[in-house]
Amino acid sequence: MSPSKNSAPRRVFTALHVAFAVVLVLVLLGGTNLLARKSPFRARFDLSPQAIFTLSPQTQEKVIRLLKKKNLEVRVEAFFFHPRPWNPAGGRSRAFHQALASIRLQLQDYTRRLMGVYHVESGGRIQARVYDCDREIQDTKAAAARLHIERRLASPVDLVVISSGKRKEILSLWDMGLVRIPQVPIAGGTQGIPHLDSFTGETALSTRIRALCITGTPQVMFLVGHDEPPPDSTGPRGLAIFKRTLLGEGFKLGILDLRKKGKIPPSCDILAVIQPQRSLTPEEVSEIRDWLTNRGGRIFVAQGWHRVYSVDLNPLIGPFGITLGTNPVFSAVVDPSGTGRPVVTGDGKCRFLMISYLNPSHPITKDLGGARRMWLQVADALPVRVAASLPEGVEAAPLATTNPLCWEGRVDPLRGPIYVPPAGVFPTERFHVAAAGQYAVPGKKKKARCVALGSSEALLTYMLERYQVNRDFLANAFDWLADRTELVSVAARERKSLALPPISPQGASRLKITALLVFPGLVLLFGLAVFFFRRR
Amino acid sequence: MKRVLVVALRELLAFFLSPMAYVIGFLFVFFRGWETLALAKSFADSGQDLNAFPMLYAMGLCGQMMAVLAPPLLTMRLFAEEKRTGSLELLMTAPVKDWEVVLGKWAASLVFFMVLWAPTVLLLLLLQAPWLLGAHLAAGPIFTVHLWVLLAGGLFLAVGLFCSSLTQNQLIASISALVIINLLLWGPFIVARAGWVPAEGIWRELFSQVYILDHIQSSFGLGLIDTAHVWFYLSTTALFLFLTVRSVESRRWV
Repeated sequence: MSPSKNSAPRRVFTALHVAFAVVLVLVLLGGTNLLARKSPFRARFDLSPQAIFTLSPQTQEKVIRLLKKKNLEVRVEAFFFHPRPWNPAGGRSRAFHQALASIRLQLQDYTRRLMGVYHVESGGRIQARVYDCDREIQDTKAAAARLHIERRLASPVDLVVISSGKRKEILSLWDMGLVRIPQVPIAGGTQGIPHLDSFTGETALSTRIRALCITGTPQVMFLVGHDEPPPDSTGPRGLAIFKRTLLGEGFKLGILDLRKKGKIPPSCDILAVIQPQRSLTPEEVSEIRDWLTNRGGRIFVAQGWHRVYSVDLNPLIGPFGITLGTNPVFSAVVDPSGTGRPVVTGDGKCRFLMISYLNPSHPITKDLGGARRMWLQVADALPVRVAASLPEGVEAAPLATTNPLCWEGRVDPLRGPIYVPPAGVFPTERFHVAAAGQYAVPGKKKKARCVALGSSEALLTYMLERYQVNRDFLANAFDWLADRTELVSVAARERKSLALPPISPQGASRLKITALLVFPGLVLLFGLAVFFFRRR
Repeated sequence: MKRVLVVALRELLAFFLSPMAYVIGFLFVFFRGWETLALAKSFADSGQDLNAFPMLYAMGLCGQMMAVLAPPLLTMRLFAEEKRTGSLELLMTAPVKDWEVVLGKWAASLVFFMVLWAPTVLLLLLLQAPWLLGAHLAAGPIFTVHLWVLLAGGLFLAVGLFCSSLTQNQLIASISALVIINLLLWGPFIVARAGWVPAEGIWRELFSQVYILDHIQSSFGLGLIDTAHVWFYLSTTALFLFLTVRSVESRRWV
């Protein structure tokens, strides 16, 4: 037998053997890769700053649990457009437009990822889909028709629609983040350039998903007629973000002029008394007390101290065993400039106090503790006192407490270093600045409830937009007042955004030298050293 | 394992003594530095969120070129050259198994590949120095981005090694490796762009598993490690190493 005849069957056998081995390996590869994507074998490790791609424990505990408990499935559908090119006729500078487009893309990106996280962590109960409205035109049209949002998508506005059955909630992409417009030095002058301060998508999505799970829309009525700031007021000292927070929580809002109406309407679930600058009439006080005591009303009181006005709201909250002090918590220190206004700093820079303690046993604050901090205005915070002995049937508890000692060595993120006064000048005892109380109403299941806050400043836009925890506190307070205990304490992390400061000319040249000369030069030098070493 | 180490050290020494390695290293570090400068300037000018920096840094043109071009260049000679000069037969007569030779060569090229990346990691860390840029870059995404470089580098080097084992011609080896790497990298992207991706099911799962560009965008670039993705790189690298062993072994079939 010739060698060629002998090797032919061997070759075939070897080829078959190898082909079989390769196919087996490929099948194994595909199978193990499919298995690797399944839940017991798949794990995700979030090493991002603040673990932002993992849902906060509160969301996992409350939102996901609520969906499972109610056996609900939710669809989150995002409709995203590509940013349009800069148009000089639009009235915005190129830099402004570019920054805004960049923020929009970032928000789209973060939202897309967050939706994926919701889908995975809800075990598929939350279905997520992103429509590229510029490319997937047919799919977008079909989805828009199903959700009845064709008219809203007629203009290129990015939307996130959360739906369950026939109910739906619509969010704008701009609800997913807080954008600031700081002045940035550009070409010799300054210009306002938008900057994404934080991504608040988890809060927005969680609250809307929860809103779909609940039935009924409690109404919050703002008491007016005493120079209170209206709920629509914009600007840093307005209530616009406060209003948005409540709307986001699924509340219906209204205003109530009790002097004209005379009675609190039955549709009013919660009465918000925020920073009245003139005293309530005895009739108004009497009506509110009657509403609380006999009809199980719920009241939210926030009174800021100001030396030009001082309204006594204690008749409203007194029956709950809670009283507001008449002087700010730090009245012991007087401004040396002679204004008579109590201050805590010598330089006028620090005006904030940190809440050192959030009551971990009260539903409103139990999930807000830990590393989170709540901030209030020092000079405008009144102490909130809880009576040592409460009448029978009355329950009251402090919610937030501050202690001057906790300021020591702290740096206020907005105002700079905190002034530490000389020993002995400063009070060192603790002060409560928020409290909640309730009591039973005869003949009714519903209890009268009250939340009192020592500083109305905490509700103003400039405070709420800076501190997520302040928003969470308010959302929780109103949910607790509305008896929506399953919604209380869902607080989401905010994703803090970091921006690179403008590079100085010296910094730029140092960077150039390091990146373009030092590093490549070192590689080259090493190579040359090896070359000469080998030649020798 | 000792023999793997010996082969790896021999190859590593060959890499470090080759002038080509330093030319590649110099060009890469220079263009990477230039790219980093441009990226930092764009972040400073636009006020863009710094959390996105590591991902854009990894996805930069130079980074991609490095990830795609360097593996074929580094691996093209590993078997092809030895086949051409006949030194492979010499190596194979040594008391060392085929898989040990393959693993040793692959390990050496991976170590050298990561050494090429080292200056850019150092530069990224230096950017945080107050005298340079004072940027607060998160360590997590920087780590995960470079983990991706390591995993994808390992895969692409295995592809290069496989192609080198198929031929005696270095040019053919490098070009075929380049084609396969680009197919791996851009194939799923093109399929996704064309809208051919099934909405759900096994094929969808498999597609997501092999979509390398999405891995960097949706997990590694953001500071996330998904074990499913890690498994894809490890298993596919193992596949190509297995194929390389078979290919090297094939000289005994006739």
